[in-house]
Amino acid sequence: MSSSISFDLSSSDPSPNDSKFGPRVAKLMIRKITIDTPGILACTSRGVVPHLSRDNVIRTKGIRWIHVPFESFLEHKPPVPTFQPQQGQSPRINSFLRFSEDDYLLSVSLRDPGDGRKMPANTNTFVTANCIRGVRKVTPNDWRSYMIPCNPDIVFSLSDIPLTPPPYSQKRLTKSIERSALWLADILRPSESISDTRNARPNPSNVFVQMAGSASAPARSAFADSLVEILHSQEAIAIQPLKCLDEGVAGYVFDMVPLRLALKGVGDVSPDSLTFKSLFQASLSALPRNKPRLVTSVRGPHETLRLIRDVGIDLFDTHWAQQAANFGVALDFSFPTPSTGSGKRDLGHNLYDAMYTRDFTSIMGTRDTIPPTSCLCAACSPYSTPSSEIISHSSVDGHSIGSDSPSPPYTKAFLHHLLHTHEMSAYSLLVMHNITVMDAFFAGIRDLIPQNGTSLFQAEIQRFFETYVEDTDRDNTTGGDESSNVFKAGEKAWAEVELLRGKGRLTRESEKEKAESAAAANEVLKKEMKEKGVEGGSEAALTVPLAPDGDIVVG
Amino acid sequence: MEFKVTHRCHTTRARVSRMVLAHGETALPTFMPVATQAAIKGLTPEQVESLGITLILNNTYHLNLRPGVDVLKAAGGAHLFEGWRHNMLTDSGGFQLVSLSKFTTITEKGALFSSPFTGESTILTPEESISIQHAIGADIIMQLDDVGEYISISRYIGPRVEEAMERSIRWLDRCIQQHESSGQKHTQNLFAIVQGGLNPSLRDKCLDGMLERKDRVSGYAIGGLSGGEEKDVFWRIIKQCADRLPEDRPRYAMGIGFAEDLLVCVALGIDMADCVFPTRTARFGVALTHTGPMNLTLGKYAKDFDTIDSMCPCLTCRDGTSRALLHHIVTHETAAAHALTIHNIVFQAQVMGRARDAIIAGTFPDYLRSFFASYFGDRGYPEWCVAALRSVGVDLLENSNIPMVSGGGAKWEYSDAA
Repeated sequence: MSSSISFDLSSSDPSPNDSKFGPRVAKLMIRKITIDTPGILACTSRGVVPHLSRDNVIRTKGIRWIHVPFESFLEHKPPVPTFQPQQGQSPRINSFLRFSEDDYLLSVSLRDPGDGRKMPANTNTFVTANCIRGVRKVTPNDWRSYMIPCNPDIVFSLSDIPLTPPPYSQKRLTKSIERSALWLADILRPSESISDTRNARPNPSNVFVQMAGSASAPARSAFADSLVEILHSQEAIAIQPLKCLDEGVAGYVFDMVPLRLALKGVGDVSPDSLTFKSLFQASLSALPRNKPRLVTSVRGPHETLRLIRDVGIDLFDTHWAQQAANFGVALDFSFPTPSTGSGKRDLGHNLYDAMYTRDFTSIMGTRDTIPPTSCLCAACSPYSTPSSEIISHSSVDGHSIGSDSPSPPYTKAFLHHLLHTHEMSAYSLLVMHNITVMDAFFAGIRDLIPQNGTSLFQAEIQRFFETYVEDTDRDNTTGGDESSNVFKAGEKAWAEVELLRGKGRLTRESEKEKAESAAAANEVLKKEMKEKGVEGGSEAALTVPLAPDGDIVVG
Repeated sequence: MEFKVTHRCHTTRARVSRMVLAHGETALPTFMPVATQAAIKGLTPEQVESLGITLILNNTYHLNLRPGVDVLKAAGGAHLFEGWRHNMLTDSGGFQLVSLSKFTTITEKGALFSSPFTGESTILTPEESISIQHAIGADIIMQLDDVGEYISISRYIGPRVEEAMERSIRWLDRCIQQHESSGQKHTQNLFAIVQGGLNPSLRDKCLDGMLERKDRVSGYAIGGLSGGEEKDVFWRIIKQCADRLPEDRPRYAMGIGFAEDLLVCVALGIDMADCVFPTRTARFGVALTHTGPMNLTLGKYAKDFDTIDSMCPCLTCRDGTSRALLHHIVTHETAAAHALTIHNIVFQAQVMGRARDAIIAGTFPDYLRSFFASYFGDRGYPEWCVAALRSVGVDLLENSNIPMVSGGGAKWEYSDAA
């Protein structure tokens, strides 16, 4: 019933130094699916790829591996997917979510790795998780009872990742390591009860473990040691025939969101690449190199390239790219980078910007002197259904003219219009585009890694860094610098449109009118104060206060 | 425009026809989904095309506001701007100007709109409306009509109705004038809109006037009937107009979208209708089916692993998406809105498509009977449907043990917990 994954590194020759952490190319396979690594996994919300209907998921070829946080299903106990009727050989979770097991690899974790919101602390016996009805407590037994019937291709074992405000004491980290190891053992033990084995295999066969230890290298080492340590007596019997936990582990996961959170508590130092490098190497030193390494919530291509180069990471989720779509940012970068004379450019376009009102070029249309890249996403290369597959409603259905010929790409002007009118199709198009850009990015990386020995790969990484402005910590970009981060500009524009949403033309006009009058009044005030030599001068000018209903307050 | 009636129902006034416009062929009778702001909400044109839709509606009022005529002209028209390659109809903008704004007054010159904030006034004249619709480039354009009052009894009765009706005829002339002198006469087709409220003699007067202009318009719409008026009056006005409108012009009932309303209109001789209802109700979590609407937000669907309709050809159903999964995501994820929008658009198209096939096969009365039995069997036929269909020779109650009920009969699905 279940299938094992195989991870084939054979194409990579280890280089003499840092063989464990150098960039590598591999193939991860399950059933008929092959995922080339370094590669991507798509994020979901409530079981679906946000903004994409079934046909649009199918249109986006970069979506092959889908990650599902299970917590949204905790609304019901037992969770609804466990009741899904078995359909052929398809794992229940695949059947429920309609991701055919022939085309998609599904991995499941309890929590959303991208969700860094504060949570009540875990205890020795349960993990806290979030669903729409509030916080739920999930025990290791619960987790088994959900995962065994659902039978996803890859299960993340429960782990104790602190999401309380840092810093974390030695004691807390020790608990985190011990609990995570214990819970890993729990998911690995073969099942005794009949009900567990009723439908599926005795235990999930492809378990990924989230590497505990937070921002402490010694803690991370200790956790890795506990994975390879040969177990004795009771502990050993529990996980028979495995001799150590690592024998049952199919892959290693590194979560950036809780790590960034933890690093904030270590000081004002913004985490740099060296920090992540040393922490992740601490986790991986004692572990075999022939298992896939997965990073969740990587922040963009710069960080991705560093992690591939310095740690040998194989898989990354597309959380960052999907989020960019939510803020109207269409990604536009490639690797290797085409040469350009002019200075640095952004990783994408904030399509809210007024400069795109009449820009009828495609998303990745001509820029400077660079020829257009041919992006195969549904926005840049719209895929028209062949006439024979169009749904027919009667024997005399109208026949379409030329639907078999390709359509021109969607324009920046149209996407700009959709974003400002808050139309949902903007997001569908941008998500499909952004995931496709990431997929092409990784294809470029895979092509160049074998050149690592000739240092061409390293040189291209350097050129990428020199060409594109990195999306650094947006909270730290200073006020006047907003325009320097295209993602931050997108977020701001999105918020403005969101605020005016559904309120119609008159409200938009009135808001604008009020903002303009307030600004004008402020100018007059400043001028007067300056003239009258008020202390502090124009800098002391007060903003004209607005009453809650938006009217200007007088006096 | 090429327009040809190819089949007629031997009992009712329904007919099947073929309409060929600049962007292709559309089989009638049909239902037009509404792409208010240059998009069917949530779907790309490729998706809409794959559902077998060949004719959509765009709103002139909204497009004129955003992106605006300048951008549309620079893009080469709405088809190119929004990526829709098939047929398109635009309304005149008059209705929204009145329905969306308290600050509109209708004068003889046009619809006068004054912004209370900027003080600026704009006027939408018949000429201006046609000119904007030319820039948009839709295959069918509508005259600017005087829609009368909005949300007020004086919309239906009283002197304002007569004034609106008379003015609509005068504005039709101005629209015709503007259209004929524009050079767009042969690629874009102008429709007239019959007004007159709920007053049969005013409707007759309007029909008299507008039929005189038959040779200068490509089709006729019946307006003023989408405001929630009494269903029993609604069908009688439709019938009156449809009986008098020429056979060789398409007839368009504006703002009609409930399945039962559509089929009654088809039986009375209507060829096209538009409405936001199916796509809007999809976004609210309601799937339309042949047994009535299915409100997927209800708890009873949480563990229901059936598809919405096992016979439905839409991808949501064919792919096996369960009611349980939809229940989990409706109103939370836009993907749910898309899944249901796809389904509901296909449902509407199926209702009309089966009607076409039935008319061709000579079995339209049977189709009416089976549709209504399936849809209303659990509650009883709305009285007005029985009366309307009887007027064209189909008696729903004959050989049926389904009772008749009074009232509008619009179906909804409520929680069992209530």
